[in-house]
Amino acid sequence: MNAIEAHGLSKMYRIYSRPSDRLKEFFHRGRRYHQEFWALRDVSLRVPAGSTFGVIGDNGSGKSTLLQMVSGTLRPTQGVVQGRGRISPILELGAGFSPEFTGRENAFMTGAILGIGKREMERLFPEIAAFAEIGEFIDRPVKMYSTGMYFRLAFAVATSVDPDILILDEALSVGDQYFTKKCLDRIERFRRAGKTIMFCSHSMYLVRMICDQAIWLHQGVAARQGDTAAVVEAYENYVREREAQAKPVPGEAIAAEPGPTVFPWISRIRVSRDADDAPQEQFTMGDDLAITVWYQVPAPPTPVHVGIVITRNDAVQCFGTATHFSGVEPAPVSGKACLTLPGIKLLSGEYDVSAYLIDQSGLHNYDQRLREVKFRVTESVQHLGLCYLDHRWSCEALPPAPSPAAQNGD
Amino acid sequence: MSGVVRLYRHRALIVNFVKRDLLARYKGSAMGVFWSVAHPLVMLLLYTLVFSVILRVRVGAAEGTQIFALYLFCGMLPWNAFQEGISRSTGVIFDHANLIKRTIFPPEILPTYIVLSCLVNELIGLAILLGAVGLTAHGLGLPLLFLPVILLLQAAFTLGLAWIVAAINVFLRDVGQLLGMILTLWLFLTPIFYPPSLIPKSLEWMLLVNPMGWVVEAYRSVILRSAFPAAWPMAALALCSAIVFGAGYRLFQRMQGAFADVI
Repeated sequence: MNAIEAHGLSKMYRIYSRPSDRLKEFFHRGRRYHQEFWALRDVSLRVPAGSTFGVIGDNGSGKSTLLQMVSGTLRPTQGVVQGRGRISPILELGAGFSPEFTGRENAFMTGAILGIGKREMERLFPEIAAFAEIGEFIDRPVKMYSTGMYFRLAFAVATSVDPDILILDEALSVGDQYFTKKCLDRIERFRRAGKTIMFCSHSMYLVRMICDQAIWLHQGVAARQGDTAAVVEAYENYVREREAQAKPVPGEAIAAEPGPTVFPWISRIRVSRDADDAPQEQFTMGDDLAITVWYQVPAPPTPVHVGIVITRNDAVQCFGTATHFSGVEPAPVSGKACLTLPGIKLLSGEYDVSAYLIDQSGLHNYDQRLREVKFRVTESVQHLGLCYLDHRWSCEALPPAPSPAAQNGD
Repeated sequence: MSGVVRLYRHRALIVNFVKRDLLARYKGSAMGVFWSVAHPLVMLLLYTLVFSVILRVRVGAAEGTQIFALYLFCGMLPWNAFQEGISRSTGVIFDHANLIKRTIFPPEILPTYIVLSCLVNELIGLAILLGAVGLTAHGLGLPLLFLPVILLLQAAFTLGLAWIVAAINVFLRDVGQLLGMILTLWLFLTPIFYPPSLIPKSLEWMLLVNPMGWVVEAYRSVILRSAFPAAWPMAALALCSAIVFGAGYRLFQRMQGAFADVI
C-alpha cells in the first residue's frame, strides 16, 4: 500500500514584474501581464507505507515546492497528490516559534497549531523536554537558545504528535552531530513503527543511509527517481561534472572581453619557463617558472597591484605573493606583471594558478581569476609532501649499549 | 454559518493566539499587563483635562452625561477596537507567512485573533468607563445587559471587514495605505467627537449608512443614558454584521488557497 501517491504534480507561479501588473491583469481579464514560472513539472511518485523517501537536488530545484504540495500547504497547479493517514503538519522545524516566548510556551503554542489540546500536551511535555535536553532553559525565551537547543526542541515538538507520515524540509541539515544522531534515532524508531517519512536534504550521506527510495529534482523536473543508491550516484556524478566545468586549462588562459567596464580586469594568465617564453604545462623540479599576468586598466590610469597564488589541485595553497608585498608598483595603465620563480621546489603534482588584481590599498579585489591555469611538475627523485626542503642526512653507527640484565646486576 | 462552525472548532487555537498577542505586547516590560489598564485610564484623564477642564465642553442633558470626556470615551472605545482590529489585520498574513507556508494551518483564525485581542483591550477600557460612569453619580441600569449583544455584532462586523482587507492586502499591498485614509475619514464622519443631533439636516443620510455610528449610539444608549438602543438601528446592525461577516468569510476562503503562492 502506498502512503503517498502523486500523479503529474506541477506548480506554476505567476511572476509579475511590477505589483501594478497584478492589478491590471485583475481588471483586464483578456490580457496576460505575468510570466509563468514552473517550479515543478509533472512529477509522479509513490511512497510505500513504512518506507523512507528522500528528495535531493540543487537549491531552487523544486524540493520544497514538492514537499509543500505533498503536505498540503501549497495547492498544485496540475496533478493530484494523496496521502493516507495523518500527515505531520509541520514542514519546517521551528515554524510558529516566537522568539520572545519561552520554550514551554512555544511548545504548547505549536501543540495548539498541531491540534493537540492543553491536557494532552501536558502529558506529552515531559518527553519533549527530555528529548530537547535543555534543562532550565525550557522556561527562558527561545531567542536565548543556541541553534542546537532550538532545533532539538522544535524537532521534539514536531514529532510528538505521532503522525503516520512525517514530512521534513531540510530538517537535519542544521544542528550539531549529536542532534543529528538523536533525530536519526527517532526517525529509526518511526520507521520501525511502520511510519512513512519523506524529507529533503543536502546530505547525500544521510539520504543514502536512511532512504529506501529517492527522487532527484533538477529545475523542477524529476531527473531520476527510484532506488536510493542509483539516484544519489546519478546526482553526485552531475555535481562532479558541473564542478569540473570550472577546470583550469594548461599553460595559458585568455579571458573574454568583459564588455564596457570602468574597473581594471585581468585579460590573460600564462605559465612559462621565462618571461618571454611560450606557454608551458610540463615542468621538472628545479626548472625556472614564470607566471605572467596581463591586465587592462580603462582610462583614467589607476594604480593596481597583482597577486598570484599557486595551489595544488587538492586545494592546498603552496605559495602566494603580490606586488605590494614586495614593494613593486605595476604600471597604472594596461600592462603585464611577471613573477619569476627560479628553480621551483614544488614536488611532483598538478598545480593551479590564481591571479588577483587588487587596488592600491591592497584591500579591494578589482578582478580575480581563480585556479584558471594549471601546470604539472615531475621530479626525478621521489620525495613526499608539497615542496622540496634543503636537507642533509648524517648517519653513524653507535657503540653497543650494555644489556639491561648486566645493569641490574650492579 | 460555516464560518462560525470553523471558528468554533479552532477555538482552542484562537484562544492561544489571543493570549499570546496580549502577552506579547508587554513581554519584556517590567510592569506587564499593568500597561493595558494604564493606557485607557490615561486617555480618559487626558480627555477630562482637555475637554472638561480647559475647553469646558458640555453635552446636553439628553445625552445622559454632562461630562464630555465620558461621552467621548464611550465613543472612542468601540471605535478603537474596530480601527485597530482592521488595520492590524492587513499585515497579519505576511507576519505569519511561515505558518501558512510551512504548516497546515487555518489562516482565517489570523484576523480573528487580532479582532478578538483588540476586543479584550476594549473590555479593559469599558471596565474603566463603567467605573467612571458609576462614580459620576448616575447609576447603571438594566439596559447594560444588552451590551454583550452590541459587542458581538460589532465583533462580527469588524471581523468580516478584517477578513476582506487581510485577503486583498496579500495580493495588493496598496490596501494598507488606502485603509489608513479611509479609517481616518470614517472616524470623523462618525458621531464620536460630536453628538448626532448636531449633524445638519442635509447630511443626516450619513447616519443612515454608517454601521459604526449605530454601534457608537448603542453604546451611549446602554451605558450613558441607561436606555435600550433604538430598535431599527440594532436590526440594521444585526443584518449588516451578518452580511459583512458572511461575505468576508467567503471571500477569505476563496482567496486563501493562493496565499502560499504570493507570500
